[in-house]
Amino acid sequence: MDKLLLGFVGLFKGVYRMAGVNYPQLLAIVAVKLKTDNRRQHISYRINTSRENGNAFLITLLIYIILGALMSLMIGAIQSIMLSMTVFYSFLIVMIAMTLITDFSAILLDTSDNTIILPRPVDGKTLYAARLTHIMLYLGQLGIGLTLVPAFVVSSKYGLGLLPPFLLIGILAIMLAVLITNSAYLLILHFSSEDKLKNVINYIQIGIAVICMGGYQIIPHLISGYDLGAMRVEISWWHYLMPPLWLAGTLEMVHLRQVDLGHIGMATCAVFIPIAGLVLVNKFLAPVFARKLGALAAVSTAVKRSDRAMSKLPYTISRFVTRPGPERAMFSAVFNTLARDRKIKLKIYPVIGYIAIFIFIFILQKNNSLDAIRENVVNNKYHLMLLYLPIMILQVALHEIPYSDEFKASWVYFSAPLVKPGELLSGMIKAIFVRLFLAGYVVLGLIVLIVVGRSAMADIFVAALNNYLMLMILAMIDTHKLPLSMEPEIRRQSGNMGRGIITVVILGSVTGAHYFILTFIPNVILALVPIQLAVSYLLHRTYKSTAWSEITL
Amino acid sequence: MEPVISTQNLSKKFSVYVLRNINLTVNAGEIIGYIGPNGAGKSTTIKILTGIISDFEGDARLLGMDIRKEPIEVKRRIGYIPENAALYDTLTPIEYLYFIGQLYGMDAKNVDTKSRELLHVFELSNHFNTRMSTFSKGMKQKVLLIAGMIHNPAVLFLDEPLSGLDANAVILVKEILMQLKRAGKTIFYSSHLMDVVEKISDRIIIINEGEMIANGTFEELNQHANGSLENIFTELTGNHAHESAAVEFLSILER
Repeated sequence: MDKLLLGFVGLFKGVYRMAGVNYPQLLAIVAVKLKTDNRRQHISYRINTSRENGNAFLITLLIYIILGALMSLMIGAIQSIMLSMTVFYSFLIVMIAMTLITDFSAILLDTSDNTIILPRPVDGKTLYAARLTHIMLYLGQLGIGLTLVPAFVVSSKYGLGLLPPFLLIGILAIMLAVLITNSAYLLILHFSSEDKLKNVINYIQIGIAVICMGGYQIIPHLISGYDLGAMRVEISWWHYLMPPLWLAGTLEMVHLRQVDLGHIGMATCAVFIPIAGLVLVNKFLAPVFARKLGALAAVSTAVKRSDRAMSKLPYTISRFVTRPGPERAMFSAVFNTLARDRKIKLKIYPVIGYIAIFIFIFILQKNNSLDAIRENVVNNKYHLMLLYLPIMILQVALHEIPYSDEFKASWVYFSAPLVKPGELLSGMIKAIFVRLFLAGYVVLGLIVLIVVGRSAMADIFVAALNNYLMLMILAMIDTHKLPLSMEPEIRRQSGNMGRGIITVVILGSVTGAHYFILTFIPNVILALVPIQLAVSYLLHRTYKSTAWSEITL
Repeated sequence: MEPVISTQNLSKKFSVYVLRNINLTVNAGEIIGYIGPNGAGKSTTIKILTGIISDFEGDARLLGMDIRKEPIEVKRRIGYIPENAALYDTLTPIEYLYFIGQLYGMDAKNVDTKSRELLHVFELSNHFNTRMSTFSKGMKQKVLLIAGMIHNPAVLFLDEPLSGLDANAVILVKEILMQLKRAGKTIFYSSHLMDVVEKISDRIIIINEGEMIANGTFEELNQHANGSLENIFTELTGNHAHESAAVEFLSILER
């Protein structure tokens, strides 16, 4: 596969040379990057062969083909070519930009190149072009996946003649996504530090994850309100501000053979801006790029002042909820990690966004006035759903916390005189609950109190304890892994489905039981609290006494 | 004859100045020991001289070329062995060295042959096709040493090159450096290992808080403080309180 891709790069040899790039060096860098990509997913202490494995990529490609197929349903449903193609190219740009941000941020900002490539006679242009080529190769393959099924639909709906322009405009869409993301990175890097950029990227990633989830949920609801067959879009000035419309406008121009000023303007933007943009970025920002990266490496070795005093919050809270010793130590470590580790935040924070969207869709959207919302919530007991959703955040945190890039630092668990590692697990579970549940739950509780009234107070208490019980049950039925002790590469994604099903079953049973009691025997609800406390205590005590033999290493 | 390395008022500022007015002159065939406490500015100096950092104040020339104006040509003629074992460790050493050779425009066959022979010298013959992710720190360091020299550079910059090496490898590297010197190569050697610096360096430069505080042969520096280079270093960097610090450390431990 690599040879095929490198052969493809060879087709553009002349273009690279014209742009002042050292082609043999570029080819060497791209070849190594492709090789390390193939191997990155499969490093472990036990695997020591040179066997390449492209399964991870193939699975991603398959998912993208399925996503493209789903999108082609929309292309089929919408009559207006302008509207259907706007939706499709928006989807393509967002998907590519999202992949670029999630998969390639680390590669684009890889400072390991500073000590490996920068001391060699490689100029900034060549290094930047190599990185861009590497990224384009990867995205190009995924772009093909996303476009595959829509290409068939477009051919059958609008005729085979429209296929070449559809694909060419698809390439322009990918170029636009690369241009937008790269320009943003380079500009931020120019005016800011790498660390700040990584934070910004983290928030963009979280935002995009939430927007995508929200988009998939909300757009069908919005579109269902329109008569798609009759929909027709007239070109206005503001269309020029939206890149997907340039692309769709260009395809519409070709399809309808409608050569007017508006369409010519769209086509000019669609063709000219991505190409000229990438050339300009390569010419003006790329030389700055290598210089800036070099400086970044130096800064990272220079002595840095502490940005702020160490937060005392976890240490203060830990005094109230943990016993001195390993449990308290782990509480503070996990508490801080949940607040600081970008990768863990990226996994957890979008779930909070999803919950907000979930609430919006299922509780609020059909009700305009506050009274109507209140009536809807009280009648259907929707507030229970609100009170139990936080377990989704807790279960993600529980799954993610064992994995860390700094997993090697876990040697301290084994060198410390620890009789029962359960004490560490206990500190971990308490930190997850306190950090990710309590503060948010107080806000949720207040909202429920305002909407439902004082009668919901008992539900709030009972549901809080049930959230804790569910967290304990999930922790106990899963394999016991020590926090921050596992290599991220060995995370088994295949377990996601099973874990999700177990969580939903537990969540459904507990919420159902609560609903049942609230509906038929509401007076006994507070009588549950002592039982919950006793069960929580027993479960926690068992979990805390987990022995070394029960730990998965 | 023009010096191989020369700097005039070389300074570098990040948020504060980490290097101030460094004036260096290094001649062909010299081994320079470049020492200083942690955070003194040693690695920053090396990164400027190797063209990794290009925005600095003052002038820096290498082999007669302005580092700012001709960074690529300068990089072609130098070798750099960084402090941290930075390499693509999902590659095998053969693959990695082949990649490095290509960046210098070396002939593929030549790189392959040289790589195998050099790895053999460092007793890594059994690991030609093993991914470096499984290598120990010392094994990676050996690959880094080869990668820094495979193109036979005229000037060599070494930042803690003996880090993680076993005793035999340390002796071998020291011997290689002496042979390189005899072959007319210039070596800029930064380390915290005073005994090694003392033994191999023609001249020693001490840097402290971004400023050059001493520059001379071991004998010349010995006039400041009698004894080993360690004593001279302690004397010149103004850090005399080791014994009282150790006593304080112990008393804290025993609390």
